[in-house]
Amino acid sequence: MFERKVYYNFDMSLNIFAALKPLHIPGRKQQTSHDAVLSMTSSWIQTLYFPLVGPDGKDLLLNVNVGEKVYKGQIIGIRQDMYVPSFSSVSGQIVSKEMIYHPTIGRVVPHFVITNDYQDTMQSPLIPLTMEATKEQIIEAIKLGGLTGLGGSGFPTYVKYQHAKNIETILINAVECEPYLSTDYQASQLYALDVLQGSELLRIAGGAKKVIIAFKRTKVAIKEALTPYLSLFPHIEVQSVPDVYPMGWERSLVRTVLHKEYHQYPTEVGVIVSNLTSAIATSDIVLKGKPVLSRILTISGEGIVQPSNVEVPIGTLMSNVVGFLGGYAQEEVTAFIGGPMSAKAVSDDQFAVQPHFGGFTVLTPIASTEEACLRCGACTSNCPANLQPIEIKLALDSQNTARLLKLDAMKCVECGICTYVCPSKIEVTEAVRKGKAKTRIELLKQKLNS
Amino acid sequence: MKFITSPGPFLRNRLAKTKQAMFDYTIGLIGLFLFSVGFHWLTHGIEYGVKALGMMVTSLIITLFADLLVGALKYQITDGRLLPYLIQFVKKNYSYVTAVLMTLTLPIGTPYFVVIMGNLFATLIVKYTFGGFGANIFNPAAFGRMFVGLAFASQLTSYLGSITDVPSLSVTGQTMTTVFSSTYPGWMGLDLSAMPINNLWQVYLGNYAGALGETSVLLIVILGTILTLLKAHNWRPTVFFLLTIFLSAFFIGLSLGINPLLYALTFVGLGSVFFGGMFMLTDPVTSPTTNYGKALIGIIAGFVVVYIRTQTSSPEGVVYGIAVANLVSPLIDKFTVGMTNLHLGRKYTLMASLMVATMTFSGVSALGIDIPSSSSSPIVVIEPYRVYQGEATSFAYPEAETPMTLRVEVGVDRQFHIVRVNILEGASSLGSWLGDWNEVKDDILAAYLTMTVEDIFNLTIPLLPEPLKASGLTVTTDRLFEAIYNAFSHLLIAEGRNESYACEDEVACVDLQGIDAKVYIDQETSVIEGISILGDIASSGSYLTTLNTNMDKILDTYLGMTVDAVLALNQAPLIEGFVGNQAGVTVSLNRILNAIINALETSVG
Repeated sequence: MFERKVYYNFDMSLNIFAALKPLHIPGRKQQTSHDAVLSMTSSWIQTLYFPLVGPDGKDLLLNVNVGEKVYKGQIIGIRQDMYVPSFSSVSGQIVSKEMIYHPTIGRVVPHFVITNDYQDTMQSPLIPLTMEATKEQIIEAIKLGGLTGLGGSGFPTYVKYQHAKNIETILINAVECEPYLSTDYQASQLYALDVLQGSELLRIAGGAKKVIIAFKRTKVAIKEALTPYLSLFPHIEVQSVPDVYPMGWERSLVRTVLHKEYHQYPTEVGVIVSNLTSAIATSDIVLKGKPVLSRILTISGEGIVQPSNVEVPIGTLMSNVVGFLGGYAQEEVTAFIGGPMSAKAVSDDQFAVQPHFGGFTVLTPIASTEEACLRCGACTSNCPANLQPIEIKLALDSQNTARLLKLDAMKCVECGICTYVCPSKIEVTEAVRKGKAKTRIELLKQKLNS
Repeated sequence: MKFITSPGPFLRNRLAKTKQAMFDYTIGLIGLFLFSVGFHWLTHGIEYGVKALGMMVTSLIITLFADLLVGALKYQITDGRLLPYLIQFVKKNYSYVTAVLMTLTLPIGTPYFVVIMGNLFATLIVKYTFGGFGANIFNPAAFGRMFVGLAFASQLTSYLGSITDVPSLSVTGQTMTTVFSSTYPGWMGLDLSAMPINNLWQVYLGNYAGALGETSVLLIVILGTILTLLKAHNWRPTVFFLLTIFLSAFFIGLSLGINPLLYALTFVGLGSVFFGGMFMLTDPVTSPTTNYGKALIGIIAGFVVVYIRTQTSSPEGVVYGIAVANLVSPLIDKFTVGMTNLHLGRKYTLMASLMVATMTFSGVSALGIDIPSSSSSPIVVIEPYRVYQGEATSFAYPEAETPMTLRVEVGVDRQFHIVRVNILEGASSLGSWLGDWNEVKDDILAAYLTMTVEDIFNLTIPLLPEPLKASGLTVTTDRLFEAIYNAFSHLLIAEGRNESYACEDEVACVDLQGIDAKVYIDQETSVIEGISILGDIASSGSYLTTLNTNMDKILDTYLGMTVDAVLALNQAPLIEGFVGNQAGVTVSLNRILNAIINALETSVG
């Protein structure tokens, strides 16, 4: 069923069966986008936590142990399945192992507890290169630098570039379509030159002809910050895209900017999409020999006393970051890492900041009662993946597995639009997530049987 | 600090609300309803406005009652207290929309009990047997209307009380659509001139009687557009429905050889195409969930409407179109799997071929159909029933030496309408006048063909109206009139009336019904030469048909009888061949006889 030829219509607006206008979701970024980026004061970063398991749930191959002294930039452990080192973001001493919550894995896992000695003694294994570095040198550098997709995926960047062939374009994603988040917006203004240098390095790494930095039409400041340096980089273009959701999804971005459709990965059509923060990190790793030790987080939402962008060392407890900003404004909150549309709620704020976290949003819990589905089809016509969310839900509810498999639930990216638009306040996205899980199991069963 | 976890996303579109959509939709319908109340009030009087309001209130109350009934039946102790449960139940089922929609599909003359039956059927049977809002597979209002239309067809009138109270309605009291579709079987015709409303613009404005909500196309389009912009409903079913019907009608128009654009506009403008398409077909609950499916049911419903209108005896097909669309919706949903932007070519092809098939079908079905024309009727030659001859003599001009005699042959039909005038000799004077006379002769003779014998009797030479008289030819025209008059001069017209109950059962026949008889008697021989009958000859349908088709036979029994012989009758002679022992018919036969006797008595005896 998944082997059949998949093609996508060239332009959504030609399809009278899709919603005539893509969905614009109010950005709600003004809470944080205009103020300066704050830095954590020392008292809040006295103790830092580093997980001893990778995002795949398996233990890291440890480089250091409890009681040892660590330097800033020293490797703590390396993932087992792929070479991805994690670094200590401060210098100090590993005092103990502690079990705390890990939101990506979703359970408590062991962490190293490091006390900060505030010396910031740097001892990095990375060797700085110049802008003349070759493709292989750059890929090797970002591999050793442990760069993962900082847009939120956490997928090792070097893997994307290592196996890519016939790449023509590198797309730098500065769209940040999720409401509340403004880290890319802020970072692009603070580190404009790094953005361009990093983009150029990624272009060389991918062997591409050009780089396009895509930003939202409404975020002109990004373009203004980059323009003074653009003449130095002849291969880099800046292009604006409409302020609609989910514009930052790889597929929408490639479709909008390059008018290309692909089956599974953008490399099929000669495109690699990287996040703007990843580009900055590439510049840091390759040119300065400095791995990702801190990142800008957008701490926002009506549940925060003083919403702001904060530059936070990796490993800081999220509760400390919130405490630094004055704490919570409400007794009961719903909090999640990233933006409100596609994130999963956390059950605790005692967790360590990871490099791929883009923000922490704290909102008033939503109270809504579900009504009967009136089959208006809003979810279907607005679905950016062209799925039929309500039919997936109905097939799941009626346990019609054959139909569920035909509805291609696996193509869902969980952008959350179906629940957002539902007039009857039905948890459609959650149902599709379950539908995906069920499909995965069914496909596995079929595989085992055959 | 408490972290509440719930499935994402954590933002919801506050503007998208089922309650709001239903409310907007109802506001739109209420707009239509107010227009209807205003129209009926202003054109027919206050009691019509009150009736419309009464129907709406009745519908709402009955539907609320049905809601409460089902709510009470479904209630269980675990649901908490009864009253809050019932309120929630009523709120969540949005039955008020059904009530408003149902009312708008009914014409003003619908009796209250029919309104009640329709609403109970719609809500209790069509909606709640499937599980209420969101679960019903058929549109409650459409099926309620269909039920009422089949069960109480004769009660769905567009007038209150008696039709004679409202002269502005059509003569028969039928709706515009019925008149149109009965004038042109299969909707094959265009001329509106014989209709209650003969202006297409007035049809689109809604200035005529019909179901409460369906008449004003213009208002429906405006309200529908606003609702679409408010996202209260999807535009695809409506647009494809209208497009299919419009294009099909366009092709019918081409086949018939009439103005296709005007015809198509009339075809979609009359009846409830716009109302049904805008407010019933778009009902999301009974539509497929995909936009493709929604577009498809529009085309399918359009096909059914065109088919029913052109191929069956039913005057209107919109509810059936909606019913079929509802019926195929689950099927369409079943087959529309996978990503919605896949197989677009196949989807467009299917839609286009359905549409083209409908258009071709309509176009071909209309080929070779002769349109009955209401404006220019072909010349029908009526064979006269009786022919009389008359002559008149006068001098063509004062100095003439010999008078001229004009002999004329006049034919009359059974009702003693003049159907033929032939001048046998002595038409005109000489010379230049002859040419003049030949020029106007046909017009003058034709003018006589509109007259009855009685009309001739009521005229005198000095009072001859213009069409019978031509200046410069007064002597000739006078002589012609005199000759025709003379042809009938031996006749005496006796008029009489009988007023009685049309049947023996006085309870069933409440009103006295009158029969007027005109008897044409030869004064010299006292023989009856002709009889014409007018009035209510029977109370009910089947008798009326029997009597009407046999009227000639009935009257023939009296023709040729003398006045005395008729007066001597104390019972109408039975007519061979058709009268059994049907009481209704014998009563009518005697009533006709009594009217004739009454005429004879007043004039002769």
